[in-house]
Amino acid sequence: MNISYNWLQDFVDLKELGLDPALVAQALTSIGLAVEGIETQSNDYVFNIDVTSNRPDCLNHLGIAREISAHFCLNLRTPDVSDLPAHRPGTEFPSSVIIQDPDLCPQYAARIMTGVAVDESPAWLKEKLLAVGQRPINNIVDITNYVLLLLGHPLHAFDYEKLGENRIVVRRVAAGEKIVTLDGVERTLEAGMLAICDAAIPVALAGVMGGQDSEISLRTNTILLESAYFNPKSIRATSKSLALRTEASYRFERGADPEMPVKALNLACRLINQIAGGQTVGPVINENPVPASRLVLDLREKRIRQVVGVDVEPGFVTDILTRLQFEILNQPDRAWKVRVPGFRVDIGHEDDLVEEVARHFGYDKIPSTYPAPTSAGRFLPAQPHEQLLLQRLLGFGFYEAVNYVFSTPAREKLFFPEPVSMVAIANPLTEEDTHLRTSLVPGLVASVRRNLNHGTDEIRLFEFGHVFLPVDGAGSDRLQEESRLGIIATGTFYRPYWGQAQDEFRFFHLKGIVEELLAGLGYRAVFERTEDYRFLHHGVASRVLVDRRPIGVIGQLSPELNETFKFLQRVFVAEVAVDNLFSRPLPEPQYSPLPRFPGTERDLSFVVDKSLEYDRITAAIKSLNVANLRDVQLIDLYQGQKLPFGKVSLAVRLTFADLTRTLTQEEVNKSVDVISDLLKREFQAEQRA
Amino acid sequence: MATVEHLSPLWDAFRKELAEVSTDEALTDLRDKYLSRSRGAVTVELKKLGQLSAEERPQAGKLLNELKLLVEQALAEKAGEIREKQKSARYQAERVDVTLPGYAYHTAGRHPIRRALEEMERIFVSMGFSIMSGPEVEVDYYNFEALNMPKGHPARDAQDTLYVTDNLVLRTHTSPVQIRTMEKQKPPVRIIAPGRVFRRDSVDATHSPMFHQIEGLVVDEGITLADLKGTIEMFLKAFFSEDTRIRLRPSYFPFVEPGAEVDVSCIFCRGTGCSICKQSGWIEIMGAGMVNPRVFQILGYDYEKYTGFAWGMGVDRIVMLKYQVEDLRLLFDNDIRFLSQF
Repeated sequence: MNISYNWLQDFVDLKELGLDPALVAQALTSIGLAVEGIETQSNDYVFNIDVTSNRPDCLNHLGIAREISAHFCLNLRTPDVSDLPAHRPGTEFPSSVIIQDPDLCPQYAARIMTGVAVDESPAWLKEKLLAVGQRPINNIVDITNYVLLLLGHPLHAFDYEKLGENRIVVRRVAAGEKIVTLDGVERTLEAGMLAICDAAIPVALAGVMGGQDSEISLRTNTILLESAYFNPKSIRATSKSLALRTEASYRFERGADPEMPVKALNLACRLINQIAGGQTVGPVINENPVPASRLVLDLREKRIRQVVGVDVEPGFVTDILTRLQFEILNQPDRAWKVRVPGFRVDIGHEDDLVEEVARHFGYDKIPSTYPAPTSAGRFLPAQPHEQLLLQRLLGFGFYEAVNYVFSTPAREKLFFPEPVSMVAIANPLTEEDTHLRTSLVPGLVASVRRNLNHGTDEIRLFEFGHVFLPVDGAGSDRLQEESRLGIIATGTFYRPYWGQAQDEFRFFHLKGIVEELLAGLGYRAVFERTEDYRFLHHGVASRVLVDRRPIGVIGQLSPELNETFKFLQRVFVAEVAVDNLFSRPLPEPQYSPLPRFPGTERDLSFVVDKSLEYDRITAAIKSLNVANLRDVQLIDLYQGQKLPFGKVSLAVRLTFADLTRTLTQEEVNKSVDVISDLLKREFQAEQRA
Repeated sequence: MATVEHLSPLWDAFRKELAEVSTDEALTDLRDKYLSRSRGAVTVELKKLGQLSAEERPQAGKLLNELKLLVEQALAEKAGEIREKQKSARYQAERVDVTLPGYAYHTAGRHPIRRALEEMERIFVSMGFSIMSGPEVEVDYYNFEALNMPKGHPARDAQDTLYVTDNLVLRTHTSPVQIRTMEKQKPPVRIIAPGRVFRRDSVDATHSPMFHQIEGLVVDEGITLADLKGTIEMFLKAFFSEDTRIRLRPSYFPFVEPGAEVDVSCIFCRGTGCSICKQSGWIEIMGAGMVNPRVFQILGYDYEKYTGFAWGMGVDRIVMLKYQVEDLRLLFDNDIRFLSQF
């Protein structure tokens, strides 16, 4: 809101008291009217004030002057808003106002003026308007704008002759009624919108914008001047639905002063008479089916202390409320009974009055106290889990990615089989943000693409984030919001480095990382080959299971997606649902005594079918329950020219140990033989030297 | 005869030979030559002592023992020298160029948003606040209605909202967590709610449809605006620096009354005025206020008994300020060139 320093002086003496613009700006900011800037003009200063949406009473010069007068204890001069007697009898230009929908229009005041000379405004008026950025149009329109900027009440002037039967009907429109508004746009109205109509058709969108047909022109001689009060919600709905926001709608939707219509009308009539020579015809037409009532509230001294935490002088409270034009009805014991002025639509509760006292008392004078806690602060139950994974991933050299939660069906269908069931956004802003993601993978893949574009080809990223899964189909109020961890990696595992061979990031690197993460949470992960995921290479894809339940997936990005995203290197990705994993407390470490006797290691090499899954071998060995066997570790895997077709050579290291004694060679040999026999029997393994 | 004249050439010969010795083997040979039990030159002289008369013997014996001691000492010294030489030769041979680069053990740094959030959480937990969370897709009731923003309320405009259905929104703030907490828990309440929030905003250098917030709530008997001031001040001093000053300005948020905007003294110029604070010396950092009694009414709290304060601040903006990141998009671009700077 632009407020002119010079204009303010019509109501309060500033210069005389040494209140320069900087001091005024500082004061306004300190009482909640934040001055965001002061524009220096040739002979004026204009404050740009950020008026919060609860204070429509400050969207005008008198309102701001009232706050300044209260803050600095200045006298406030108010303009003459008394009735201007009729110059001519009403019979000359008959008219009437009928309010058909008093719920949306509790009051409609109007006056006919004739002999109006539509012309340029006088210099003083143009200057005032220009100072605050309002373009002068003609004296009649300028006067309505002037009254708006002065009192905050929107007015509208119709060309009396252009109104069908010269009368006004305020009513909800039927669907399909049309109006060409002042901006030249033909608008088709929705049923229920409030319009100002003549005998037949809408001539203005109530409280939003006038119609072109009844606009004031240079030929206009007689006008009907409107000053009404409209229901804020109705104005807001109309303005929103037509995407038409005006100075008038801005004020009406926040709440105009219900006591202002006739006063604003009177001021405008006086000015039109002075400036444009208009003569009033008959008395003010004032239809007021729902009279405004003023709220009466109690303010207790102890409530001020309870909320603000300081004792405020009762005399100060009385003074500030009076200066802000609250009417103090009486002062019972340590309390005030006040009547709220009509323009203070924000005041509806005792604590709203507490704020009035506090902001003028000065927030800077309130001391800083600290309420001692009554218990220790706690992190979320799942935070230690997330921290553990986070620390390990950072340690493995993975950076945390933060992707938008938005996606599109077009993007998700590259990854998941159609139809992709997604949660849609009802009012998306862009074409990329139409739905919510169902997986972290597409976002991570896009992040890899961007990094490659920047020339980074060693990429390791992870993301903790929510995905959104529809429960009952589109448009439902039910959906499942799930926390997941996504991991993606591509490029080198070891960079080429002197004395160290380069190694490419491989599936088993990622698998090892996932195993280590889950182990940290106390889970032993099981991996099961799968071809169910479209976005993964069907030869290099696995489900991840813990406690026999699938919790996620890991694999190499499919060759098709590599092509789509123009990846020239293999990309590995994993996604795991974490809500369940995090629901169990982190495992407490379990101490077991250190072995006092050295263990014995034996390596066993054998050739088996390539199609045999390694997990079956370890499971079979485990099922033997071989005494003192502590560990089976795969130490070599060879497939190639030295072996028959379809065969693979494995070498495992078996570790034997007993807590109470050193094992004898014979015992160990016997155990190795048992295992070796099993491999031969179950898997036709051929032992190698 | 073991006289000085007789032994002196022997000593000189030994010294001459010792000077030539440079290996363990040569030293052993030299030791044998002079001290071996059977034929060492000094040993031979000692054996001859028996042939001397009783008068001559003590004097000659003394001289010979002195000589033997000198030889032994010289041999021991030489042995030390040889060991030193060998050690240094080995070091020389195994020397590496310590200026060669170390092998890469690459660990990643925290995302700047995570860094800031963790730091804030740590401070608040130390002040007795517990952390709470809630869903990102939220029911209209929790996001607006229960926060004194009924449908058609002008303040809803300030938070342009992404809707899923008429009843579901992408939460525009983490305030719904406050309502959910107060529904479940009776006072005293002392919580913070960090998380992602959403607005119907297009992406540019300072706007994003998704960003991060941290909000706080304290409800108990006797909680005042002065407590709000003190609590926020304590946090901001811990987060920025002990000399941080704060300023409260009256403002409006539907869920608080009285409401305030909180400024901190500029963290760059310490309040003297610079380009970052636009010469004002202050930076707007959060919105705050006393919980509106209408919110307590909706929740069924007795507002005559309990009062409370709440505040909320944007984490991304603080990250941008703190690290002088000029473009908000960098926080969501996942560019490793950017992330590796933290």
